[in-house]
Amino acid sequence: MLSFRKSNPAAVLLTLLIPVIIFVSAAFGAADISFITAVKAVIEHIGLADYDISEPVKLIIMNIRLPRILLSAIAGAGLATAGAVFQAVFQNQLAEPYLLGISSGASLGATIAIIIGSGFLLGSVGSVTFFAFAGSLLTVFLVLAISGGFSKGTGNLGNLLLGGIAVGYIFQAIISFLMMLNQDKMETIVFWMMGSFTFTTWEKVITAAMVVTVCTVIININASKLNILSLGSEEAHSLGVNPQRAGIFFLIVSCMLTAAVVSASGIIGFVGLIVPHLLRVFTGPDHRKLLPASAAGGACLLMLADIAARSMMAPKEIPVGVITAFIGGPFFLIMLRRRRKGAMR
Amino acid sequence: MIHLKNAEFRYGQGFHLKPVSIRIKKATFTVLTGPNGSGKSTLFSLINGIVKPTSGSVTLDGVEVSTLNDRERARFMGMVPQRNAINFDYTVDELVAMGRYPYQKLFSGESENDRKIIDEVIERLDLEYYRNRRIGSLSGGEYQRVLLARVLVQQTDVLLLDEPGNHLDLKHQTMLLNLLSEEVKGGKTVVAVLHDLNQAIHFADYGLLLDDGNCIASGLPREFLTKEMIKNVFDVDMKEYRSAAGGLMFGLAEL
Repeated sequence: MLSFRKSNPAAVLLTLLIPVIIFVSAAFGAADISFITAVKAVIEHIGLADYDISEPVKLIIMNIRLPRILLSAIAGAGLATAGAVFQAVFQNQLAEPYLLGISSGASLGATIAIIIGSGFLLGSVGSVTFFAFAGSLLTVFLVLAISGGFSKGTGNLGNLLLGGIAVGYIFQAIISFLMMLNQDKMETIVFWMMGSFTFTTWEKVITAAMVVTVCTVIININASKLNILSLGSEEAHSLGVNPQRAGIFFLIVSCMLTAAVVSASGIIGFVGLIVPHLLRVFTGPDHRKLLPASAAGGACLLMLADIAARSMMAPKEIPVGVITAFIGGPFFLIMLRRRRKGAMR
Repeated sequence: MIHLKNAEFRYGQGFHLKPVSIRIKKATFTVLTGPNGSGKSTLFSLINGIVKPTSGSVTLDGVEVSTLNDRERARFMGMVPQRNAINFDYTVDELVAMGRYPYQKLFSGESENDRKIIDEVIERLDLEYYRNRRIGSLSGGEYQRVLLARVLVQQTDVLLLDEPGNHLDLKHQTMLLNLLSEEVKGGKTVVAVLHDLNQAIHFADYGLLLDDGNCIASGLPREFLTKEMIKNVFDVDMKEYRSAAGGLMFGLAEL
């Protein structure tokens, strides 16, 4: 059941693309640093060679650009994986963390953690992540209750999405309200609403990387189970998978994934929708292939979106969530339309 | 083999399947029939372990079905569900291969033996040509064959089929039922929900007629299915015919 067993050219190609995009991205920014210099700075920092790169350049690459690039890759991988999982569990190709309101739930959790004072539980990044996880979990079960469980995917497509969107709105309204009451923390909270990699620190990168890696590995190991679950609860039952138990297991792990990403980078929508959907064209729906490809594809997409966010209106920065919404919104509408026409099974 | 002892099921205040006691023997073809809403699907779900009886018991070789763990049960009992649209367009090979899931461990994946079984069944059901086709492009008959292939790959003693003839033309229905009869001869126990009474008479060794949550007749279908019984349960006038070989058939009385 391990995922990399079958040939998976899409995943391999996208994985190879990741380091290329990392260094292309490292060359983008206010200070003029070339692609080659960026590569050299990293090699020198690791201690593999000595190229005499100036200290400020090394600092910019290692402490400013690289953390945010890596965080965008981690966030992309996490959101795309979570999207693929939600789609399988809900048997609905329009499900994803943002549209289901789960990102907003995580964001509300994070906001509360900031307001009641960070660090009282597990250190500042840790407690924000923990609260974000609690928020996302609460949301997913709330949306589940509203839409009437995961029994029939197509049947309650409307309920699921409407429930998710409504819950998302309510949570964002609560966040706005909390923001008003805590104007001193407004700036930090605003960042959660829009999604951005601006204030990335290595601490955030490492926390997110750990959670995303563990969750992604767990999900990939269970890819066959996810295939079975995607057939619907009756068939899952007869093939030896308890649909409720397995569904809850996958939801918890992907909520953890979403929470880790949201608490490091805020709400970034649609990555979980676009990436698995596009990649199914190449890998088919088999999650043993789709999941690794989605993780790699999500990393690539979000790094590219971050390049756009930094360079389109430089020196001003566009929140990366705005970029993904510009691509994802129309994409979602097209899918909705195709679905209505019955083009999608 | 399968033994229901006063098995009863209630959906809250709604549907009530009154206590049923039946014994389904090994290597037999059992048919559940009755009007819509009579309790066939509920009974089917009880046997399959999807729902637990509110009272009474459902046992498989003496073991309570609801106490089996999910994979254990799936190695004893396989099911062909009613055609439901799957939202993910797997290939025929991928879908059939999922029948081996109950035998696989977390890190083992598909073994050579699994592959051998899958290939044999695909060949037997004449699906070689479709192997890499996506299920979304199959006709109803082809898809039904794929589901049947999956349940055979599951290598269970018991095969449960929920209205397997739905969406199939006459030729494919007959092919399917013949194939199931072969499986019964090979030692499998088949339980199917069927609407066609003539098919029930022709293929089944044992049958159950349900009406409004009550099991009103059981035994050999050609014995308990009479035109009086049909009129009583389905509210349709039927006429009895006898084939040259003496087999019983029903046709609409007005014809």
